This record gives sequence, C-alpha cells and structure tokens, in this order.
Amino acid sequence: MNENQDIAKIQEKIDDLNEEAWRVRLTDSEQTFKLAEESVRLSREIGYTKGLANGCLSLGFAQLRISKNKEALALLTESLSLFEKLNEIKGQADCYEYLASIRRNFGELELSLSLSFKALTFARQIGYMEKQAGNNYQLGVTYKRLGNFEKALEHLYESLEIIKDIDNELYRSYPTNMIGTIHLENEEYEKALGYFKEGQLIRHKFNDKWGEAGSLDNIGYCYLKLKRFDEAIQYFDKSLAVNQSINDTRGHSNVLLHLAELYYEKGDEQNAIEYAGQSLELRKSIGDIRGVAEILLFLGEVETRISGNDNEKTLANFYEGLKIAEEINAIDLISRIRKQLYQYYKDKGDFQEALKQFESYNELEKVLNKNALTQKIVSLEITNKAEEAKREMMATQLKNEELNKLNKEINEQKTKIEETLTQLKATQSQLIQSEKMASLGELTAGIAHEIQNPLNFVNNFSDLSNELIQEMKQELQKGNTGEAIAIADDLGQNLEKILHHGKRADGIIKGMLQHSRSGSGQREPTDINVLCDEYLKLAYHGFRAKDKSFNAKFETAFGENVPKLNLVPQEIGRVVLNLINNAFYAVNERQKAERLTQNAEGYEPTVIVSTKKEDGKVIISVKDNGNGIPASVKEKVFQPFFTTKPTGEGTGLGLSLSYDIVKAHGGELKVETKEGGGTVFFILLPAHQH
Amino acid sequence: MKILVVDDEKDVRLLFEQRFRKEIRNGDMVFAFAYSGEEALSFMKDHKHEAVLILSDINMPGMNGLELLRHIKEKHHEPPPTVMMITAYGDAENYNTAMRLGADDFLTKPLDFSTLKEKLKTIS
Repeated sequence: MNENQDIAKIQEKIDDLNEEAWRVRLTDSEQTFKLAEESVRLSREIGYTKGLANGCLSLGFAQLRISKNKEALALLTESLSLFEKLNEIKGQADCYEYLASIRRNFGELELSLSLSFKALTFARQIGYMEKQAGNNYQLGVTYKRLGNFEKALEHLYESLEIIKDIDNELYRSYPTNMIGTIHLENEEYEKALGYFKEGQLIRHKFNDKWGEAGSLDNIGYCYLKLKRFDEAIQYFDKSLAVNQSINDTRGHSNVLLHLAELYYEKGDEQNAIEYAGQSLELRKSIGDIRGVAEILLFLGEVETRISGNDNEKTLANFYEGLKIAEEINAIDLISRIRKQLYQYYKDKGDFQEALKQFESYNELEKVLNKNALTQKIVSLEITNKAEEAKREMMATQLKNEELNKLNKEINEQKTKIEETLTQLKATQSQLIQSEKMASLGELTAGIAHEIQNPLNFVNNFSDLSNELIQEMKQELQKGNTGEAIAIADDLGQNLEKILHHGKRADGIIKGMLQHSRSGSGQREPTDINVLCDEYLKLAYHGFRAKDKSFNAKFETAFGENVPKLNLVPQEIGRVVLNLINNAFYAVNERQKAERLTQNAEGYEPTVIVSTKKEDGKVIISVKDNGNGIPASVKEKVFQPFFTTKPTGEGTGLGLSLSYDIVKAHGGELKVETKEGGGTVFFILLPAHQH
Repeated sequence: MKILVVDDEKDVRLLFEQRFRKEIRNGDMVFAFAYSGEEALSFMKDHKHEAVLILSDINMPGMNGLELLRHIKEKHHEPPPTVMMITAYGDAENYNTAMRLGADDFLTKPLDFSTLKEKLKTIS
C-alpha cells in the first residue's frame, strides 16, 4: 500500500517534471536538459512508461537543438516506440517531427520528408494545430534543402496560415525566418531582411534566445550583402552577445565567420584573419570538420590577397583544407580549393602544377555538375513521391468521405425499408382483420339461421306458457287442483326450455363476437367435437344462404376418446370453418361442372368432418369429394394471397392464416389430395396442450 | 289423424305436444317424431300407411328434407301421404324445388300454429 502510494507520488513528480521541461523547451534549453534528464532517470527507476516517453521526447528535443543528432535519434526512437505502445497519437506526432529534423541533418532528405508527412497526418488526425504548423514548417525547410523553393514556400505559407488561426506568435517566427532564408539564397536581400526582422522581433518578445541569435545573424548577413557594413556589424555584435549568453558555439562560430567575410569585403584583411581564426577554433572545439575546411579555404583566399603568390601560409591553409575536405569527401570544397590552387600556381608561374590543379578542378566540376544534375533529378523524384504520399492521404480522406456518404445513404435506405416494413405490418394486420370480417360475413347467414331456431322456441314456449296460465286459473277456479299442478309442471318445463334456448342464442352471439375480435384470445379447455360440430353447421348454413342452389351432404365422424384441448377456441374454430368452407366451395364447384355435363344425378357432394386421437395427437380432418387440387397448385395453397377463387371472392389469406394459427398451437396443417378425387385437410394438434 | 314431424331440433316434440295438447287429449290427432330424414324413412317402413301427414324441416344434417320428400313421393308410398315442408329459408329456390318434388305445402319458420291448425283441419 505504502509502496504504491510512493510510486504514485513519484509518477506525479515525473509528470510535473515533464510538463515543465516541455513548456520551457524553446526558451530555456539548459533547464529542459536538467528537468528531462531527471524525469528519464526516475521513470527508468520505477518503470513508468508514460513518464519515460515524455522525458525522452523533451531530452531528445534538447539534444537536437544543440546538434547532437545521434543522441537525439536514440532518445526519440525510444520515445516513439513507447508512445506507440501507449497508443498516444500526440506523442507520436512529436517524435516523427523531430526525427524528420534529424534525418534532414543527416542529409537523408527523402526519409525526412516521409517522416514529416507522417507527423502531419497524425497531427491532422487529432486536430493538433501547432503540430500541423510545425510540420509544414519542417517540410518547407526540407524542400528548401532540396532546392525546391516553390514547394518550400507553399508549405511555409500553409504553416503561417495555420499559426494565424492558433494565434501563437513564437511559432510564426520559424516559417517567417525560413522564408527570409529562401529570399536570401535568391539574392533578394531587401525582401529577406523584412522577414528576418519580423522573426527577430517575435523571438525577442518571447525570449527565444537561440532563435533570436540566428535572426540577428541573418539580418547582419543581409546588410553585409547590401554592403551596409555598419549596420551589419551592429547586428553581428548583438547576435554574438546573445550567443554567448546561451553558449551556442555553432551560432557563435557562424557569426564570427560572417564578420570575417565582412572585413574581407571591406578590405580589412587583418580583421578578417583575426575573426576567421576565432571561428576556426570554435569549430574545431565542436568537431565541425567541414566548417573548419571552409574557413581554411577562406583564409587561403585572404592570404593570397595579402601577399600574392609568395606566401607559405597560403599554401599551408589550402593544403590543410584540402586534406580535411578529401577526408570527408566534400567534393565541392575540394573543387573550390583546387581552383584556388590553380590560380595560385598560375600566378606563381608554375604552369605545370597549375595545369595539374586545373585538370583536377575540371574533373571535379564535371562530377559536381553531374551530381547537381543527379541531385536535381533525385529532388524531383522525392518531390514526386512526397506528392504521391500527399495525394494518397487526400485519396484516403476522399474515400472516407465517400464511405460516410455511402453509410448515410445506407442508413436512409434502412430507415425507409423499416418504415415500409411497419406499413406492411399495419397493412397485414388490416388484411388479417378483413379476412376475419370476410369469414364473419360468410358466417352471418349461418348464425342468423342458428339463432332463428332457439328464438322460435323462446317465443313459442313463452306464448304457450301464457295460455297454460289461463288454463291453470280456470282449473283452479273449477277446483281441479290435480290438473292445475300438472299444468304448473308443464309451465316449469317450458321455463326451463326458454332458459335453455335463450342461453343457446347467447352462446352463438358470443361466439360470433369472439370470432370477429382482433388480437389473441385466451386459451381454454375446449371440446373439439363440439367445436367442429358448431362450425360445420355455421359453415353449411352460411354457404346455403349465399348460394341457394347449393345442397351438400355433410357428415361427422367424431372420435369418442378425443380429449379436451387447451387452445384458443375462436382461432381453431376459424381454421375449421375455413377448411369446411373450402370443402363446400370445392364440392359446389364440382357440382356446377357436373350439371353442365348433365351428370349431376351421379354426383353426391359430400363433406365429412371427423376427429380422432392417435399417437398422442388429436387429428381433425375435413374431407370433400370435390375436384381435388392440381399438383402445380398444391404447393402454393399455404402461401399468403394465393387463391384459385375469382377476384373478389377470396383474400387468399385463409389457409395461410390457418397454417399460422395451427403452428402457434404447436400443431401441423397438412393436405392430401388427388386430382379429380377430392381433398382431405388434416389439423394435427398435440393431445396435451399446455 | 296421425302426423309425423321430422326435425333435427328435438324440442320440437315438446312444442307440438303442448301446441296440440287439446287435439291430442281429445284423440283428434296422434303425433310421431323423427329427428332426421333417415329416421323418418325407417319409421315409415315400420309403420306403413299410418302417417297421413308428414311435416318436415328442410335443413338437417345427413339427408335433408327435400331428399326425404323425393324418397317419399317417388319411391316408397302408395298412395303418397300429404307432405308439408317447413324451412327457415323461405326462398324461391327451395320453394320451387319442394313443389317440383311434389310437396303439398310450404311453410316458413317461425311456424304460425293457428294457420297450421287451419290447414290440418282442411286435410282431415
């Protein structure tokens, strides 16, 4: 518990260190080093991945800033892999940006560009505006190195555009300064000066000393090129002062060399040598070999101007520079030195040596030109590749947009289909209801007939009872008590009959109401034989009422051992009714056909409804001796909306609904038929309904 | 006078026995009952020439009243008894069929017993 608390505390401390190191990274390199080193040390000690990732990032950045590229590469590579593990996009974007700078410093421009594009993609992904600006800046720098000023400016302007939105002035100074550098290389000094000065003001305001020193140096150099030497010196001095305060050796040596160039331009060779010498020492101290060779070449040129071709020092400088240049294979430097040597020997009159130097120089120039050409081609290729990567990025974005659109369309379609489905369901339930009403219509005549009989009894027995009461009174007046009692018995019997037939009519009405009711009824123990008998009568009378010429024999064969089943009586009743109606329809059709062939006498339309219990099932069968169902039709009879009846006579839903009802009761609906030989429908219900 | 009433409604018996209780008591009329066409035919076979009047419902399961009528008029009985058809369906089709098959009268439900009594008086 305590240990955990301790670790949590240390982690908190590491987070604080990292936050502060990151905050001051542009304004206080020394502090950044101190904080980040402490954070990395602690993170390693307690194995704190997030802390280590951020610590390595800050420390890597600090190393990069003082040109310790190898150290920075190791730290940032570690940081990147940690951020990948943590799946932290922001950290990865930072690492890719700085790794791109390192690769550029190594001269691996193509790799640098691809890393910058990666960083840019991540930054866009999370809407990290500062990083988007930063990476566009880096791309600008790299393209400038490739000599593609057009592309460079494009990215730098984009960087400025983004910075305008995020309102970070210090960031603005970097692309601004870089645009100045491009103008400087194009020898547009006035233009360059404007950008440099703008950058310098911003950096000064935000105490970015490293940057400010660079800006001051750049301004001085512009004045130098414009031959406004006093102003140039002023700015170089300022730059030196800042450089010294932050111990930036490389920057310091740059300014000193620029001062040397300035004095050389002014014709003050002594000062030129003096400053070049100081710069040389600094460059030696930081191991900047190429820089050293460059100064040696410069010094050689200065010496030549001082003492012509009679100076051992000149030659020594040239050869020392040459040695270094050959060591690092800096062809451009070798070539420039060879050219100076050719000049030297020619002036001295040593034509043989001069010729040798010239030939060497000439060869090198050829290589250089070829190199330059190759460089240009490579640059073009890299640019193309970078463009391709960008296009791919755009294509991915477009694809995503297309996918989104497609998804939206699919969703709209889905909604539409769902609406249609809802409408269909509503229509279906309306159809089911209308099918119920249609079968109710078929029933009505049958029901009217069925009610007529009990009503007749009710009326007759009431009427008779009135007469009997009159008679009873007469007998009582006569004193015939025995006769009166006999009449009273009859009266009692009549009242029972009235009650019985009243209830019978009541039952019929209730059944009719249940039949037409929508929604599911309740399951109840039901006598299948009674149910079949009722519906057979209803169906027969209904059919008779519709078609008066219709006459059919109907028979029942009810099994005595058929148990009561727990089911929804009006639903199974509908199935039975439907099957019987179909059977009557079938025999009627056949009879009509037989009449046409005057064969009617030989045909006796018959419908038989039977029930039995068999193998744990109750089977209700409805048999007719109609025309049977053709094989082509047999398979379709249970399909919704399938009907062989003329339009308007059937909904085509009867058997389909029957099928569903039987299925809902855990049973089966089957058909056996012989074309020309009649049809039997079977309802198979489990004998034990739950 | 012996009258055979054919109807699948069994309470018809009680109804007729009460409606014609005076006639029955006086011995003017004797009633027999059959609850289907088939039953009526077998009664007539067993009691030849007893029933002079047959009152039959038309709509019955199995053999219906019209078939019974055809049997009586065409095949079995000589001289044929008077047959009156009773039905809830007072439609022309039924009426015509009944008349074609030789029905002597055609009555519709609900029965008007005073009219029926008048008709019976003219027959006897």
